[in-house]
Amino acid sequence: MTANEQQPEPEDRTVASQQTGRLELSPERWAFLAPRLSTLLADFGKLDALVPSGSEPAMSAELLAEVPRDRN
Amino acid sequence: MTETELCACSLAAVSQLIAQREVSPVAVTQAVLERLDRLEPQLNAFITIMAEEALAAARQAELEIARGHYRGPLHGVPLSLKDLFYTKGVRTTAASRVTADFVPNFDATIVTRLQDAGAVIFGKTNMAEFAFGETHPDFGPTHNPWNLDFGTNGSSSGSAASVAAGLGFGSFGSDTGGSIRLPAAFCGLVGLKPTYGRVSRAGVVPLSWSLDHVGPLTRTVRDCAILLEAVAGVDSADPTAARVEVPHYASALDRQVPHVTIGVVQPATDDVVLPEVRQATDQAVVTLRDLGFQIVPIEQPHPEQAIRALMAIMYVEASSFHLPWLRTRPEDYSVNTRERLEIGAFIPGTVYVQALQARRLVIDAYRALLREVDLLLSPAAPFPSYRLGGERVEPVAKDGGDRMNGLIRFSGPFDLTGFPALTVPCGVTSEGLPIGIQLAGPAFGEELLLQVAHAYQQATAASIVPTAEGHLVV
Repeated sequence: MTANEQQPEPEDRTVASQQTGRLELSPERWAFLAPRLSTLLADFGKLDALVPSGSEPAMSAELLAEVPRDRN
Repeated sequence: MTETELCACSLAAVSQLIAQREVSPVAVTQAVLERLDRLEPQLNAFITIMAEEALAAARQAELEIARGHYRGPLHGVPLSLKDLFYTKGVRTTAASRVTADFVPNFDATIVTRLQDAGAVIFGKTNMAEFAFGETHPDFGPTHNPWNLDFGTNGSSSGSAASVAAGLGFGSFGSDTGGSIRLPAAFCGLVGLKPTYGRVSRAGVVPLSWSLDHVGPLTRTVRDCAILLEAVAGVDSADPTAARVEVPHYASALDRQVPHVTIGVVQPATDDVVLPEVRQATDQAVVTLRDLGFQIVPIEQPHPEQAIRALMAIMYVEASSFHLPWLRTRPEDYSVNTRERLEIGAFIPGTVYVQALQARRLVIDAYRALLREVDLLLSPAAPFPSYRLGGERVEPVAKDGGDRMNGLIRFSGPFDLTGFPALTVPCGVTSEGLPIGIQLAGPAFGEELLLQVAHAYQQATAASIVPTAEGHLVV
């Protein structure tokens, strides 16, 4: 779905628009999620071993830059 | 021809029967709908059945064909769609309570293309909620036609079950980490994840914009080629749809397959591939060698890091899309989907960028590999399908990553890199569950991929391609 197309809307747009930036959670919900987030972030941190600091990130546009090789 | 015989035909075969007026689109559609009535209570493969719309489309096709206006190989052929493709006037739930009543006011591009080709769309199939791994209890799991006690895996679960059960002649799914190829492999089907940009995603509920792909699930490689050809190509409604010419994939199958080298992913100590899956994969390699393909061993580039990067991107992009609903109605998600989406909202931007940096390295590694060999071969998944009814498992595993990581070890890298990959059946386990191999190739190399897969399936079809005789619930 592209940006200018119809999207199913949240039911209460007022509530959605009054909040900013990130998700606001109850203390109980945060207490539940925080250790799981921490575990996952620790795993993602292992990307340090692969990625040289300051290297160029991939953008989806470059996936499209490939051209097929002539086989036949 | 009985209902079972008709529904067991390949797409190509039923298309020929329709073109030659040996069977009418209405008769085919009625046979599929009657079979669906009988099997759906056991499979739970569909969310919305479009019987009236399908019969109207079939009657229209019949009229056009009778008047000599034959549109091509999809004219009058019943197909289904995963329930995340927008269908004008027909609800598109993405198998979630959040969007249970959402009715789009336009069709996804691929829906329009299928309708223009004369296809008869008869239903929207069940899936993992928002294609993110879990089944919402409102919709329930899809059962595997090969053994109803087992699942089909997700996320295109209903698409795979329906095609394997002879409910339609093909279906379209989406693939962000393996969601076309894994259920296809678990149901003994061909499933293709095309190159990123090969098929438009306009009008498709996203999971992760930079990883999502759209593709077909079919019983044969030829059917897969026919469906890909019908929907591929540039689309002004999707900025990622590539301006790359669409070959005649189906007719290419009848040409001599070029001499190619296939790199076979070698076993790794941590790949958790079951012995039966390894054995079936090894046998497939022998068959391909016997067919004249050159086989060379290769190592899978960065297998764990590729999945790590994939999941970091997926968590963040998915949360970004869902943020409005996460704020207003989080309780409407299934427990695990909500947990993944909420966690994704708190992953720092620096982690996301690092995943994109890793993505570039993985793309470069695969690009280099695909300069040395033409195609890559591995198991589609480390293991076959799983038994339904187990207890809920936490999305984040105790040892760190998402618990899907092991399952998508072979499929996920091709969503990350964008290179095309398909699965084709290669055997069954001692429990009678299908096993598939995965073939992958260079960007926009679907033609070669399909040619080699077709040659393999032609050599093995008699023993492992499912038909409605014998393997299915009848």
